[in-house]
Amino acid sequence: MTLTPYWFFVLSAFLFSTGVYLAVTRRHAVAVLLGTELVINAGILNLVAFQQLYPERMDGQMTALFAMIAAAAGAAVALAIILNLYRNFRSGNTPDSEELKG
Amino acid sequence: MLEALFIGFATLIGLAAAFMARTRNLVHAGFALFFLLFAQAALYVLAGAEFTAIAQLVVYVGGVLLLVLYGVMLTARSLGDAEPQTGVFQQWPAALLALGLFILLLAAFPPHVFERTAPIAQSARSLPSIPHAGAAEATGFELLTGWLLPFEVAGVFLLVALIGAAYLSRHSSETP
Repeated sequence: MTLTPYWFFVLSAFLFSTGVYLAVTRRHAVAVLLGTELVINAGILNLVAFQQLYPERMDGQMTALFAMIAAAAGAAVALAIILNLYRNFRSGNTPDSEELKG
Repeated sequence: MLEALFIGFATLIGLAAAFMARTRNLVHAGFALFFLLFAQAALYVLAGAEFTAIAQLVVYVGGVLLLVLYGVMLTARSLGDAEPQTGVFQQWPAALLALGLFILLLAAFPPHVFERTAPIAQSARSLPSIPHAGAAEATGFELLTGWLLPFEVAGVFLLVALIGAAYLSRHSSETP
């Protein structure tokens, strides 16, 4: 039994579905953000694992680095938006922001 | 040896993710995320990507996790254990959805898809003359040659995102 990229793939599938579960069930916007971070991390884990199939190229690892940069920028902007949500509705829970609800 | 290390860190990741899915305390979820990201960096080292592991520690553990904890502090009504900070709704349909996604992913990529791949421990050592793909030297060389344009664009993108985040989180009374 040797360590193959398939092991990483199974773990990242588990991380992905847990992240989807978190993002779908939670009411607080920060918890939804936590769920999306898990999903992004599952993707990055796959990129790093599949890099091993092509050791002569570095595309997987480079894409992983840029995905990390994009995720960090996304988290910063998302938290600014959550902060505004909290200021406008006095609550961080997503169901409370229902001003546009018809 | 590698397999035992992988199983250990994967168990840590699984436990942390399951705890995050269970708890209603956002601070506890943040600390579980800390362990998860740390174990993930260890897995990157196992996969032969040392530079990505360090970047994971600096960017995720040092940056994103801190941002998330600040977000909890600024927006949660209470930080104690007395009341849940986040409600949950539609748990069972969501659990079914997550389970279905997991099974779908495993069914879409059966193990024989990966059969032709070399074991990781060997493939990481398959380039004797130059440092292997995960080493910092090879990463830096690749960043400043083949990936120079995305590298520069990512720098400008980060600047724009940070200015935008700072502008968005200004107090609304200061906006004209």
